[in-house]
Order: sequence, then structure tokens, then C-alpha cells
Amino acid sequence: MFYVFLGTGIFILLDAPLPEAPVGKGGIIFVIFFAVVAVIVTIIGHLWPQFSTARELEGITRKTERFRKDAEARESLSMKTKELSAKVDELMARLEELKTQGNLNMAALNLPEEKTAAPKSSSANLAPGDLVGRGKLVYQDQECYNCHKIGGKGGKKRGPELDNIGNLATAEQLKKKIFKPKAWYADGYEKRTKDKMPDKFPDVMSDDELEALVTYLMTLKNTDVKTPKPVFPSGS
Amino acid sequence: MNRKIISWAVLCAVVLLSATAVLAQIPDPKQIEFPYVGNRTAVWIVAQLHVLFAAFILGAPIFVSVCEWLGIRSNDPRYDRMAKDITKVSMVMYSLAALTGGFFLFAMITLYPALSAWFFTHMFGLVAIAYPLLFIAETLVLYVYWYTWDILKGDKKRRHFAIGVVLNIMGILILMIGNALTSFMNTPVKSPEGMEMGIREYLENVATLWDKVNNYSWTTMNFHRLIGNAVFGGFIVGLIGAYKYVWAKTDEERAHYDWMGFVGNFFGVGSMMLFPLVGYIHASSFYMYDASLGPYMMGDQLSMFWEMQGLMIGTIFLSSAIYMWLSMRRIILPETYAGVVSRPLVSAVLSGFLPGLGHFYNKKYVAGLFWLVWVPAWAVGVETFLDSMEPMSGPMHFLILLRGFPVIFYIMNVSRGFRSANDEPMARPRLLNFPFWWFARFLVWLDQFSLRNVFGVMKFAIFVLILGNLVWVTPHAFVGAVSELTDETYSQVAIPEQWEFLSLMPAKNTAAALMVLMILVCYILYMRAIKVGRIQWGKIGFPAQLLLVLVAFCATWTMGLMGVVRSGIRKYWHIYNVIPDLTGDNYTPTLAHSAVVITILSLVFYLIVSLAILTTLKVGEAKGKGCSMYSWGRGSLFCWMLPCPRRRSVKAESSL
Repeated sequence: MFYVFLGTGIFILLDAPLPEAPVGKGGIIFVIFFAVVAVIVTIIGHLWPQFSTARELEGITRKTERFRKDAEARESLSMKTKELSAKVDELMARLEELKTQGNLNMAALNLPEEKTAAPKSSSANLAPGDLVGRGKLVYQDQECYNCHKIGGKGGKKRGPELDNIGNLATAEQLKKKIFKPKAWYADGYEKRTKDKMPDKFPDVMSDDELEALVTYLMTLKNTDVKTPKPVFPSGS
Repeated sequence: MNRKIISWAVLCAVVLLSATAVLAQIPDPKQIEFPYVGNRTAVWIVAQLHVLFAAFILGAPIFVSVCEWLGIRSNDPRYDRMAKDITKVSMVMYSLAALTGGFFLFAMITLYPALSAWFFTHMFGLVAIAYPLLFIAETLVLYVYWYTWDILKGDKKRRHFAIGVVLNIMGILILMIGNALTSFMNTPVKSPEGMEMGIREYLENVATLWDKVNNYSWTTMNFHRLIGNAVFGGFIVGLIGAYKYVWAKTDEERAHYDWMGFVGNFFGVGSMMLFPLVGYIHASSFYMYDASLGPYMMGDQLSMFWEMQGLMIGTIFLSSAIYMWLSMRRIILPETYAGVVSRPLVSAVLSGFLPGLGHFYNKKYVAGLFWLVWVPAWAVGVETFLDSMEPMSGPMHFLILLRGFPVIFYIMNVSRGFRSANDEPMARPRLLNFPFWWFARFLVWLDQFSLRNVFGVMKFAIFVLILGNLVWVTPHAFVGAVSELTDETYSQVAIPEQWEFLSLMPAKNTAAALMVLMILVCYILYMRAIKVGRIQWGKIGFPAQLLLVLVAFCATWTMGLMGVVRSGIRKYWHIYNVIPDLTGDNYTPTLAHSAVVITILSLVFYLIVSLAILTTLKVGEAKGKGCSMYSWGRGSLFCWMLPCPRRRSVKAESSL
């Protein structure tokens, strides 16, 4: 509608007689003109739909949590390292003292075997339902919808529809695909260059997030949708 | 005066650098919160102002050199006068660019110390050595360029032009360094294929400085910003012309500044015709780097920014077409006509430029140079020879085959697919060469179009421009961010299904191409009219001056908007996928908020530019009236800022 008015106005004005240059008032007219144009563009900027920054911040808080924790962990590790280093120095001094006195019996110390327990994944504490819910959030946060479709909603033809991926790939295969996109391809997507799947996810996703996302994807088993089959490169 | 201002600028830059060096010595400097507007907006304001001033001082010398060259070639003194006027304004703008640059650096180091430290650590040679040295060198060359203007005249004019070329080369190198940093923040180099290494680890341990500089979007950004600066420079010259036209006192002055506005606009819009193409190529480099960036930019959270951009670009194109229409109305046209379009030249330049750009994009620099330099030169030769042969004879067929050789070569390249250094298939440049020959023929046909129909064709072109812009800004859906949609809400905001084709890329590409073509058509008709008709310089209407102002404002505004988009696609990262932004300002500003900030910045920029234009150019006019700076109005801004001994002496004399 705006363009109809614009076009009509312009075509009416094209052949209109030209006004003379105002003597001594050019500056004022320029200032008024600048002000009018500035107000118009600002209003137009407000008229377009706006996204919700609050919603965006929710997602950012989730996505940056890992980096915040890393930063905190680095700081706390640095403190602990300093403390431990002081303790080790103290113990070493004590050992040296015992050695020189001839009273040291290593066997009698009965040192426990060093155990390297795997760090507990936070997702391990979640119930399967929670994990699927978290996976959906990861799917949103990583903007997978921009290229993939689930339930008919999402990107247009950039990536395959995922509605039936749970029947076609294993959890391990999906993990591999997300963290190493060239591990395998969806049938028909082998030769994509411009729209190829990003290889950034190992840099921006934690193992927990990967676990949650894959758990969610494995629940997608709608056989009515033609999700393309995985194609594994020869030799892999 | 200019020497004083530049001295101040250099002094301030040195003080700022010293301050930052001192700050860097403080262990673990604490984060500072900028009052009222916050850190991000503070840096945004300073950075954008710096970019605007810098764009002018890089764009204006390109324009100045072109004018100087045209002046040498045509012996038309108007070109030299205009080039000197613009250089005079550039001197003030240069100092403002240096001042805002120093301010920007200071703001970055104090408000974002960790990020600044990262850059100084990882790109030290570039940020701390090459960039300042080049800046100093450019200052010296600018001094030499300005102070030799009246010395290197006549036979020595070409030497002066050569100094201008050196100045431009330095400006472009500075631009490329700045681009290296900003493009790196968007597309930092990743480990090559086969090297299983995370991006952070690769950057810390393996990547060289050159790897970081030569990142995925650096080359395309260089082209994009170079052309952007030329466009901007042209439009600001148009603005200078408009100001001076309105304040002109004699017919001679009015005629000169009418002509200046025309040349500035011509240069700006002429350069802008390349913009959609380089813009596409630049955007494509983001898709290539990370396919998720493209949809985020064009279809998701930043999509409405592009609507606004489409509107602004459309306004610029439309205003320029109407400006030409108004220009045409003061040309007395003859009954006969003569062609002005050189088919060989248009065909050759276009056939060499686009594939050349494609090769550069694929980092095949030698092949790119071949296309940019050799192909046009060769094609012009063959085409000119062909044109001289009448009627068509046996050897001519052979020569047509020769003309087709680059096309065949290009088709072969495309069919094989361009491959990058690590043998990975890259985007294939479009097969653009062949249609250019036909396109050139169309231009010649248009050139021979009867002058009686010129006004009808121009009206049609304006109609197509409005229609094209309408298609260009048609979105898939009126929504701020796709991620906020649900199945139910999508149908409420999507455009009706029967109009959906207008939102698809083929329709948008067609619209953009048509808009460029229509502007080209207007220009061809306009140029032809100027060549064959008698132009009444100084008789253009006042609305045309307002259009020049509007175009300059829209160009500035669009630059600010695109700056937000380029920064916005990094999402919550300072350096994409490398350094996350963990401050409270890590969200994307909305279009409404951005519009307010950009508008304020544009107005501040124009206020300063207007004062600079009026002050510097009035100074030149008011010779022999005591202190020249003081003779205009109630005293110029710079006179107020920098009290000079001559003003004091004038005051002393008046008190006696």
C-alpha cells in the first residue's frame, strides 16, 4: 500500500513545476529536511516486527553457561593449584626429613591407588523425559531449525527433514555427524558446498548438550516423512 | 588551520596510545562500566563515527584522483577546482577520523580489556606496528599532496596525480588492515581439512598472522568496503555540491556547484551499481564459512534489518533516478542524436570484472588479475577491430570465435568446478560472461533510441524501480525472529501463499538486477542527453539539492545499519566461536533500538561534516578579509576550537 502511494505521488510530482531556490533560507530548509528524514527512518525502524531480546537472552544464558563455568573453573583451579602446590612443598619437606632420619617405610604408608573417576555428566542425573526436553532446547539454541525441518517447520531445503531420523541412524552415528559433519551424509546431500553442515559444534557445544540433542533426535520416528537415509563414504 | 588540527589529532592519538600503554601495564585491570549508555553502545557510537569519517577519507581521495585525472585529460579546470575543494574538506575529516580512531582504541582497551589484549597478543604486528606506521605514512603523503597542489601544476600535474595514487594505495592498505580485524571477528580461520583440531587450539598454536588476516570474508569485505567507500565519497561530494549550490551568490558559482552535485551523484550511483553484486559475494562468504550464519542473517533474527536495508537502497536508487529526471528537464535537446555508449568497453569491462571478482573470491588471485586486466584489454581490442570491419567477412567470423574464447574457457572452468588450495570444492562463480555481449548490444540499441522518447523511458525506469523495490523488500513473513514462531503463529504473519513467490530469491535477484539495469538505463540516456544537448548548469531546481542530501543521508544510515548486521551475525561472540561475550550486553539490539542509535549517529556525523564543509570552503572564499577563519558568520567551529594568533591580532586591532 505504501508503494502505491509512493508511486502515485512520485508520478504526479515528476512533471510539476520546480520551485526556485529559496534565498537565504536554504540552511533552515536543509535542517528541517534532515530532521524530517531522521524521524521518518526512525519510525520505519520501529514499524518492522521486532524480536524479543528477553527470549534471546534466555537462550544466550543457556549457551554461555558452559563458558561461564569454564571461566569460573579456571579461576578456582588456579587457586587450588596454588594451595596444593604449597601443600606438596610442605609434604616433600616432611618426607625429606623422615628420609634423613631413616624412619621411612613406604609400604607402611599404605598409599591408596590413584583412581581417575570420570567426571560426572550433569545429563546423567536427568530423567529421559528431561533429557529430551533439554535436547529440544539445544535444537533451538543451536538454530538447527534454520536448515532442518521437524514437524513441517524449519529451513527450506538446506538440510534434510529429521522427522524419521530416529529409525535411520544410531545415537553414535548422530553424535559423530554433529561433531564431525563429513563422517557421513544424508542421501542426496553429498555434493552440497554452500549449504554444507557447519563444523563448529565441537567448539560451541558441550558433551552434555550433544547427549541431550541426540536423545531428542532419537525420539523422532515418524515414518510418514521421507527423511533421507545416511550414506557412509567408502572406507569409513 | 588544517595543520593545526592535524597536529592536535596526532598529539591526541599519541596521548591516547601512551595512556593505553600505561593501562596495559596495570595487572588485571578491572572492567569499567560506561555511564548511562553502557559499554557496548559507547563503543558502537565511537566505532561508527570513526568508520564514517574513515569511509570519507578513503572514499574522497578515490574521487579526487579520478577528478584530477579527468582534469588532466580534458583540460577542464572545473575538475581541479572540485578536487581541491574536496581535499580541503578531507583534511579536516582526516583529523576527525584520527581523533575518533584514537578514542575508539581507548574505549576498546578500557571497556573491553580482555578482547583488546587478545588482539594485541595474537595480531601484534598488524595492530601495533603496521597500522600506526601506515597511518603516519598516509598523514605525510596527505601533507605532501595538499601542499604541492599549487606547486605541481602544468607539466608537473601528473606528478601530483601520482602522489594522489600513492595516497589512495595507502588508504586502501589501511582499509585492508581494519578489514582484517573485523572480518576475523566474523570468520576466524579454522583448521584445514584433515587436521582434527578445535578452532581455539588452532588459533593459539598453529595459525600464522597471515592465516588470521586472510580469513574467509577478508577478500570479499575488502571489495565490499572499497566500493562502499567510493559510493559514500561520491554522495558526500554531492552533498557538498548541494550546500554550495544553495549558498552560491553568482550564476557562475551556481553552475559550478550544480555540476559538482551532478558529478558526485554520478560517481556515487555509478559505483553503487556494483554494490548488489559485491554484497552478494560478501554475504556468500559467510554462507561458505558457516552455513548457519546465512539463514540467521537473511531469514531469522536479522531478517527485518534487511527489509530496512532494502528500503534505504531503494530510496537511494529512486532518488538518483529522480535527480537525473530533474537534471534532464534543464537540458535543451537537439533533434538529432549521436551514440555515446562504447559497446566494446562495456562488454569488456563487465566480462572481465565479474569473473575476476569470482576468482578473487575463490582465492585464485592470478586468475583474478588475468580476468580483471588482460581480458578487458584484449576484448576491447578485438571488439574495436570488429566494429571497424564492414561488412561481415570471413576473418570476422574467426574473430567472433576469438571473442568467444574467454567464454569457452570460463565454461570449462565452471564445468570442472573451482577448487580451493586443499582441493575442496568451492562455490562456482555464476556463468555471467556470455550474456554481457548481448547486454552490451542492448545498451547500444538503447543509445540509439530516439531522444523524443527519452522522457517516456525514464518514467518507465522510475516505475520499474518502485516496483523492483517492492519485490526486493517482500519478506516470507512479517516476524522479528523465526525462532519465536509456533505452528499456529506462522500463518498469522506469513504473506499470502499466492504472493509467496515474490519473497523467493529468484524474484529478489530479478528485482535487484532490474533496479541496477534501470539506473543504468537512466544514466545512459542522461549521459547521451548531456553529450548531444545543451545543459543549462545552475538551472537545476532546489528539490534536486534535497535529493542529493537525502541520498547522502540514506547512504550513511545504510552504512550504520549494515555495521549492526555484520556485528550481529557474530551473535553472542566477540570473535565467532572463539571468544564468547559474557557481559550483559551480549544480545542483539533490536531494529527499533538500532534505528534510534543509527539516526542519532548519522545526524551527529552530518552536523560535523556540514560544519567542516561550510567552514573550510568558506575560508577559501574569504581571502583578504583579515583572518579568513573569522570572517564567516560569527566565527567558525574550528576558529572557536583553536584560537589563532591572527584572530587575537584582529581583536587587538578592533579594540584600538
